[in-house]
Amino acid sequence: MSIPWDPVINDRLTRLHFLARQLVWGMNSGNHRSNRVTQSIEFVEHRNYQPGDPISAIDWKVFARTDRLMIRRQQADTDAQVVLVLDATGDMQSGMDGEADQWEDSKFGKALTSLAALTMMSHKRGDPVGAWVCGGSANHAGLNGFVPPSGRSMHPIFHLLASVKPSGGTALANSLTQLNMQLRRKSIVIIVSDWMEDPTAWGGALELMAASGHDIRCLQLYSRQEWEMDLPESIKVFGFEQQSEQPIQPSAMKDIFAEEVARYISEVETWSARANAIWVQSALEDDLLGSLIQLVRGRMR
Amino acid sequence: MNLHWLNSGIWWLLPLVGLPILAHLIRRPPSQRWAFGSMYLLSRVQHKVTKRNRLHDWLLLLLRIALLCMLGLAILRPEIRWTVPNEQQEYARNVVLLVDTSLSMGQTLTEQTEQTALEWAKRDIQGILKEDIGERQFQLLTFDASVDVVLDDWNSDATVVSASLSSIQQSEKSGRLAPGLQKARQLLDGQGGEIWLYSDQSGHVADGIEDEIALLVQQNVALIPKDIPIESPSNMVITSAQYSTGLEGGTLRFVLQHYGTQSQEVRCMVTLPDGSSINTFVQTLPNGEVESFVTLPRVTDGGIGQIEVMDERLTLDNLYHFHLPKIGASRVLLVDGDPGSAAIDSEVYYLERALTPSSVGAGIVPEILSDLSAQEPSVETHAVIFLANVPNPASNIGALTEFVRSGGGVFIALGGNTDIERVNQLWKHLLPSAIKDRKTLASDLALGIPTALPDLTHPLFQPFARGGLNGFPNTKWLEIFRLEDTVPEENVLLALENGLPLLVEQKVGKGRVCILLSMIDMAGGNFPLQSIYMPLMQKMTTYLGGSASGGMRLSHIVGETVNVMTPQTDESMLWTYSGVSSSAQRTANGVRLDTELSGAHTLIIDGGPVLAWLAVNTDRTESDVIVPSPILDVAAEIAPEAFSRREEGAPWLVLLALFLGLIQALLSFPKQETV
Repeated sequence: MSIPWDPVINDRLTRLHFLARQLVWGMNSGNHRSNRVTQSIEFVEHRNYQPGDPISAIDWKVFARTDRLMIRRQQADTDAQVVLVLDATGDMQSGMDGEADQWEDSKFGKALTSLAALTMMSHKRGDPVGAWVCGGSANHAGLNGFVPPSGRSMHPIFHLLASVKPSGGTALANSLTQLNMQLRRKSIVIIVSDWMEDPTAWGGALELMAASGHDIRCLQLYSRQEWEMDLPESIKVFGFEQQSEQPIQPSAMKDIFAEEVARYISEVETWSARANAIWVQSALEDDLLGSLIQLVRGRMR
Repeated sequence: MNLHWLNSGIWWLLPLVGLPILAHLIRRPPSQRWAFGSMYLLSRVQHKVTKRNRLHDWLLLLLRIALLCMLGLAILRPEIRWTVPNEQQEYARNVVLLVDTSLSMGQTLTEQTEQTALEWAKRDIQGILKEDIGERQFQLLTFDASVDVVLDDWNSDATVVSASLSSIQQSEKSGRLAPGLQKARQLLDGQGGEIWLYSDQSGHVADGIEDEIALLVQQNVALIPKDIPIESPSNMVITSAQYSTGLEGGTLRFVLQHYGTQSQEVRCMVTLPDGSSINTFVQTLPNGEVESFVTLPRVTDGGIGQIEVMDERLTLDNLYHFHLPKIGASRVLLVDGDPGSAAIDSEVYYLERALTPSSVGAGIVPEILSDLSAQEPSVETHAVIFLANVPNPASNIGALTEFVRSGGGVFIALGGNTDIERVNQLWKHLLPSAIKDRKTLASDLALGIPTALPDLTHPLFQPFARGGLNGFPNTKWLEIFRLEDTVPEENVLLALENGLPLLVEQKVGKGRVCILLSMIDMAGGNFPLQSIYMPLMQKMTTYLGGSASGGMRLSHIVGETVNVMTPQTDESMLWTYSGVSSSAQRTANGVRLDTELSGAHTLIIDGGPVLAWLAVNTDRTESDVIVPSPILDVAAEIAPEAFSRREEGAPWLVLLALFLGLIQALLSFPKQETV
């Protein structure tokens, strides 16, 4: 599988940079401040020594003057670390018009386009960038679905994205929890998914990541045709995560389905607010670029 | 209103209605597949959509089945028919008012009102007569079992017709419409007209009217039954009552029939011939019968008793009369003329043990007197009187003679107290021959004269045909009373071996007298000690008492004519009813009575015994106030064109099918069927 590049998106995104909404590691632009305290340049404050503090951090001069053990704290500017998360569960294969084989136009194809462009953008801006895959085929070309953030080469990320095949069922909640445990530094975490799982499950994971200090940005890919039940009459629908087919009457259930979609969106907004996440929805039928610009700039739609 | 199918031959096509069900259940699923990325959202609404789809589908299915059923039924061409009077379009000048006066017309219209159906009919006629009757002229007929013409001729004066209504009386008889229709048709004399029928139509009213209906139609006569507004017809009657022996004085079992739909508890009062009453309550069944009983007292008079059921709807049939024998008195009376100083000296001693061989309470328990003057003989009280060596033949001789004539039996044993001269004088009507003298046959039993073998075909000796004949030669006699005249052979029941009559019989009226021309104790021979003594005396009791029924017991229905066979006598005979006596109408063989009212009737010889008990009850069929077959239904069977209207239902069914088709189209458009 190859990555469906979009030159227009690449061109536009490389002219942007992430606007961090809180203190994360990064120094490239100086626009986002890190809360990491190091032995670096700028003094911040003294505080009393506590057991466990490194002895090297003791300000001996102050000790000599005051006979008190004090620790010297400094603040350092860092690069913004970006982690890109790809949802590779089965339903990401679905696209427009109920077609199952046009993968470039599927949610998964759009997700690959988005993540590749964001990788390019981050790398060109000098930000360390990594990738994390939720679900998908078991063998990610020996990369175990995670490329740690790095500023050296984009190749491992592209290799990972190109080798993933969407498959399997519910995975978001566990996967995000695991990712949170992997990340040592506070990062800008960009998750591209259809989010077609129980919000109460993944919402908790998002909240946990937010509590860890990460800047969370979510791109939700969906089919407007499906959500509006603008489907032909008398069809059998099937999902890639279920084995069975189900006949439906789209016109008969249009209203009920619309109510359910509204209820779902309300739940999503609730959970994203609790995780202080940027949430951008992008219909397959619409242009992807606008959604990505919103995502990068960190503004809600 | 009845439903008929004009194309009933194609009923077998109706199961085809099941085809849409099959089509509905086995229809093809949609073929187009759609990769749906929001299956999670679909799963959240799936239970709601499935429920609505099911409801929608079943509604559609029911509508379509109903549609096909309507079309199928339309093909069968249903036709509704209902009965109507053959009322004429043109004005009918002659009108016959035909009023049912039978027993069932005495029922009240409702439970709350006391107005009967007959009273309503009269008021309705009066109401019509108060209106403008135009040139109509009326005839007024009433009918129960027979027909009465109330007006002398056709009358157009409403006042006269209205006044004549007051002469119409409620009857206890059953109703028959056919003679009434016949009379009405005869009065119309082929000129056409109308018959306004006022009848509750219950019981047998409509029986046998088929021919008359055909003639009415033929003669252009309209039969217009008036609808009497009887609300929830109901009636309770006793249909039978039977006395049987048992505890205390026995049991009177009776059956209570309820014609009505509401079960209820009703009080029944049994009144015995002596006037005493017994109350009981019976829980009735809807349209069913219930058997109940009362226990009678140990002593009560015989005669006709009555049971009254306290039913307010139709009171005329509340009484049921039944026969009851006299209870509590012994049917055998022993008159011991010579009790003697010791028990074995008494004739009655042996008789009592012959009738009650084991102990008191078994067999016949006789009543014992020393003189007949102490009690007047009556067949109502006793069946058999044994006179054993009575010294005074004059005691109650008149009553004794009447007792025999009425069917009672008398057994006379002579003896030492017998005064031959007085016996011949006073009992001359009871003896086949005067007694000549008393002769000693032997002084020792060994030399006594044996009894000759009897005629075993005679009812008295039939038991000995199976054995025990030796007892007769072993029975020897020491003394005998000889008769003046030779008695006919058929009157000699038993004789000695020397030919002298020993037991002779004399029929008197309905009863008979048997005379033993010797003594029944050991003074006359060894008879009491012989094996034949006990069975012979027991058989003698039933032989003599068999016809002592105390008068005939007859049961009849109101309206029937009763013929009673009576003895040829010049004495005056009376029918007694409710304490009032009237002369009985004589016929060639007896007397007759045309029963008009229910109750207890007795036929008596003036100053004499009761010859017949007659219990007259109303017709229980007439008591059935539930109309089994309305007259118009019967008429419609005979002349359907005249007495029925019809409406074919196919067009309505097609319209309904179209309507259902429209509804189902609206429900299914533009949707297609999926599960």
